[in-house]
Amino acid sequence: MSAPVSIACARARAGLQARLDADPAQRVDTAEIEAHLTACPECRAVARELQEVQDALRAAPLLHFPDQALEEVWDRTLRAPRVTRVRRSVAVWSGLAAAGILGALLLAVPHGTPVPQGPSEEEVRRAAAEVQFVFRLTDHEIRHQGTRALREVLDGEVAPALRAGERK
Amino acid sequence: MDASEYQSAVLDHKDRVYSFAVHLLRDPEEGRDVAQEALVRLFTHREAVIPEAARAWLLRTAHRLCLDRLRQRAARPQAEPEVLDEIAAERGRPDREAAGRQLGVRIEAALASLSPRDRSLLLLREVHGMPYEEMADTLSVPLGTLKAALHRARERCRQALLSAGVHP
Repeated sequence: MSAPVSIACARARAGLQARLDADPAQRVDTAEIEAHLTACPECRAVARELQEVQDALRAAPLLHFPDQALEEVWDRTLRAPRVTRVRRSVAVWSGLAAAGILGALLLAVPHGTPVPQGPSEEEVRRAAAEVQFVFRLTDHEIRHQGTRALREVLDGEVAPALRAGERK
Repeated sequence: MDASEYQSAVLDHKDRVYSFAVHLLRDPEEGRDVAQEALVRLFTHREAVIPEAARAWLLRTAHRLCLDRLRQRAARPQAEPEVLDEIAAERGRPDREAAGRQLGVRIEAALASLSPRDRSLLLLREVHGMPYEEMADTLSVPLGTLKAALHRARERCRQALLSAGVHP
């Protein structure tokens, strides 16, 4: 716990901090501070100590990030995107395949029509919801990836098939 | 930021991010993990970060990751050493000795005795030269609050040095 200081000392110490900050937004009456420091040995010591703390911190050299750690960063970033892209493509094509299969199922099973020995209406509704879900995921993935060929497949083949299924 | 700019940003800022994390966490291994994670996250978010903002982005991310680690430590009370009481014990740890030599053993000890918040303030401002506006953003506090907190942190650091019986 620091000892209580006079108002004059408190003003001077606030000014010292502002001076350390070299902050143009904080107005510092340098002459007032210097006059106080000349008359007050305690504040003079505080000024010196604060300045030395700042100097010591600013003089600190940076630690060297270990080379092995840097290699691991490259492994997880610049050396990894190819794998990520392949995985994403696989995910997209898997989504498309799933959409195609479910779409075919949807087309083969018209809504609302009693189908002997086929899926129930509830199963059809569920399949339709799954198709829409997979479609939305695939659509989002392809637009995010920006691959024109995939987008053409989606827009030209899958989407019309789904729309046709919905009409039925 | 493209891949080439990302690579430059990592090479430019890796030591700074690592130093910040080591000094804030006071643990080279955890500091390395945090720095690595911040650098990898920059790659994930590179499209949203311009090269000029990479340093601030990395320090902000490292700061948040450090706070997460410190919260985890708080849940395990034995993990955060009271450093002023343990300086002697730490002399036996080569990794911490190395960090201490870099920053200056006395300042390192004083910093270690401060709260993580005060350490953050002093490290960001004095060691890493972060502007006030970026600090306020990083620490999620208003500018005026930040300046007052920084002044208090400097004063506590000075007091910690005096309490330890050393002048800065």
